[in-house]
Amino acid sequence: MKVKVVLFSFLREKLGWKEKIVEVEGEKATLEAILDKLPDLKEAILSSDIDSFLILVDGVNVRLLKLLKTEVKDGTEIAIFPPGGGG
Amino acid sequence: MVLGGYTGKILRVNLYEEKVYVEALPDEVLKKWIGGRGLGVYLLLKEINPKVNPLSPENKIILLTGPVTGTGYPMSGRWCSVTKSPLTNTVHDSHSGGKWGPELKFAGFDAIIVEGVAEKPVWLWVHDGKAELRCASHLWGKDVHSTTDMIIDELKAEIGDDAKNVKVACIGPAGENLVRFAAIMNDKNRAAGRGGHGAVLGSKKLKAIAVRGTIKPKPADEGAFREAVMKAMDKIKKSPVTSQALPAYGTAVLVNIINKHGIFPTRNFQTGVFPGAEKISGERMAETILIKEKVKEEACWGCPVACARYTKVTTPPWTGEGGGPEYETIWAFGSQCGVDNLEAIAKANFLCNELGLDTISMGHAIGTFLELVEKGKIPKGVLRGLRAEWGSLEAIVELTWRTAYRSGIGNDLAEGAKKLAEKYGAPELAMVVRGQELPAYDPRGVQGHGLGYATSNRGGCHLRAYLIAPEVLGVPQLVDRFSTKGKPKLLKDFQDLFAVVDSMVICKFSTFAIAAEDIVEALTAVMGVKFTVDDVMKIGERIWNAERAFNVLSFGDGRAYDTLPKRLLEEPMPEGPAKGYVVKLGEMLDEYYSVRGWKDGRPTRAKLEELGLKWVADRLEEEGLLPE
Repeated sequence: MKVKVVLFSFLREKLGWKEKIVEVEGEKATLEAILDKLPDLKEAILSSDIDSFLILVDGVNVRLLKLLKTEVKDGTEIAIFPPGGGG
Repeated sequence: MVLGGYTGKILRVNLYEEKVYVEALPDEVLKKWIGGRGLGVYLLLKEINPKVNPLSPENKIILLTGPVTGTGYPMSGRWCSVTKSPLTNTVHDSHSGGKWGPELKFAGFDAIIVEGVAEKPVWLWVHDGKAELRCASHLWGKDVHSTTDMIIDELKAEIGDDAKNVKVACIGPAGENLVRFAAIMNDKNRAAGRGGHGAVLGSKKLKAIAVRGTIKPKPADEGAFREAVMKAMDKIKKSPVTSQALPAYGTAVLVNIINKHGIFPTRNFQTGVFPGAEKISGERMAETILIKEKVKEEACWGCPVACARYTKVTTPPWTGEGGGPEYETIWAFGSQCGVDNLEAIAKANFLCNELGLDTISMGHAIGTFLELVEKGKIPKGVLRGLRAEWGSLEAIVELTWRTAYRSGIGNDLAEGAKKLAEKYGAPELAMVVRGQELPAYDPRGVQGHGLGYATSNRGGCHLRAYLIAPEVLGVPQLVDRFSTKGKPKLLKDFQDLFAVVDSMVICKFSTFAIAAEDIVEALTAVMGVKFTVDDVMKIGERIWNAERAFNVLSFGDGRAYDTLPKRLLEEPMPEGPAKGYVVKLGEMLDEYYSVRGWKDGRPTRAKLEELGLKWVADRLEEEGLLPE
């Protein structure tokens, strides 16, 4: 199965990419398993305060789901934002 | 005795007499209403009949600072205007940043009350504790930037080089032409945008207010104040929102965030997902049109965040430069109109600044117009051949200047989205609350924010209570945006706290970093009055209730107005992460009234007296408007 991981704001500068397609075995996987395939991203998130990142799985905040254990399937989009704000 | 932080003086400008008066501000009033929005609401309730026509000489408009303005407290470089709005008929406060606010304080005044109407256009010069009205006939008709430059030139002849330190607030052609959402602009690119305060000044023929001074305000307890400043600065530096996201991308950082949550209102709230969002995002702005070197200059007075943008477009035909665009502006001229071209959006934004227009209402109303065209409601001839369809870049620019000058269809747009949609037989297409156009978040995917829109005293507004912070950004804590549980109480707390924030006057973005305790500490140190969190929340509640009471007296505000457009209550979001949702207002409204101590959207006598507003309850009772 394939999922799309999209980065925003200064994560793009930090890691040097905007989006990647990640392929894993099977029909389901956890967010954690996907991050394992992207070690630079995993490091960026875990070395900072993970709570301050906005991680969406198909537009829903993983803190309303199962955090890193949230399940993803084929075609899921994972969007990751460092903290932002405004009016 | 003057409380700390204030000058203790209000300037009263009587335009009939062409005279100015200096009055004292009683401490007792300041302890109950603080300044800024709160003080403005109090003064309006005392001094005008809430039923006045907002564009008549009987309305008053008050420009205010707060005790914290100009003291060096972080994010305190702001000011606000309070009046009865010609767009909403509510009491209405409109806020702006830049540098004008602190300079008014330095010029020796906490606030300026403007009353009556001048015989011919005038401008007001306020400096070093004095003020005078001057002829503005040569300025009338000029745009915001020209007006500012001409006033500074005029003053150069009198005060020499110091003229470059003069700060100017003024209206452009939009205010002169009484566009219902005309802005008061200051420092060229900053806007007290919402609610048509510019039109009120236009109706009074007051073209501009220039300020300059060197009188520094003094906090009551210098030591405690310095500590409060250091604590706040530390928190601002630690919060990634205020220390990284906003400085790097400005408020435009929200474009992708809000779009990915599926709540980026698109084509007049027909959906919440816009495929072109990336092209008009803060990230894209930083890569293309942002002029980083000018960002610091554009920042509000003394602000450590500097979220303001300065952009330059070199691609014809949208060439231009200036301050902005902000998130709301990008939305209003962007996805609201089906437009995914950042350069055209920037051009429309520059025009709004020069002509003196609220970007939110302007772009939003264009979107309303485009849906009216789409649904066949606009007679062909009216367009004069303009390609008025979703994504039309030329339409967003042309309709902006047409509105400022009430030219052609601009005359209808100038009345606001509500009157526009009503005129063309489709009132249901106006996404407004109390006549003010909704901003850049579709509430079907954020329930509490939706309740906030519905109950906002100043009409469709995202800042009375920015529930996007907890419901989307997770600040201070993430709450479930799809749930209605607990939202009424959460909303009340935000509404009350933000009323105080607006009265101090500090920037709401500070609340991404500091909390109620910090606000209490700042107020206590500045004013020299011992406040607790409960005291401060009570002041906020008082302001909120006074505003609602004004509206009740003005037009019978209440449950019937605490609502949302049918689309948001009955048409489920068609796609995206919020697919299938409507705003479940019915699940929240009664609980909100219960939490507020109101009945059917109106404050009860018990609640008003609890807040020291017996005089307001009496007035409501006299007119048979007090709930049983």
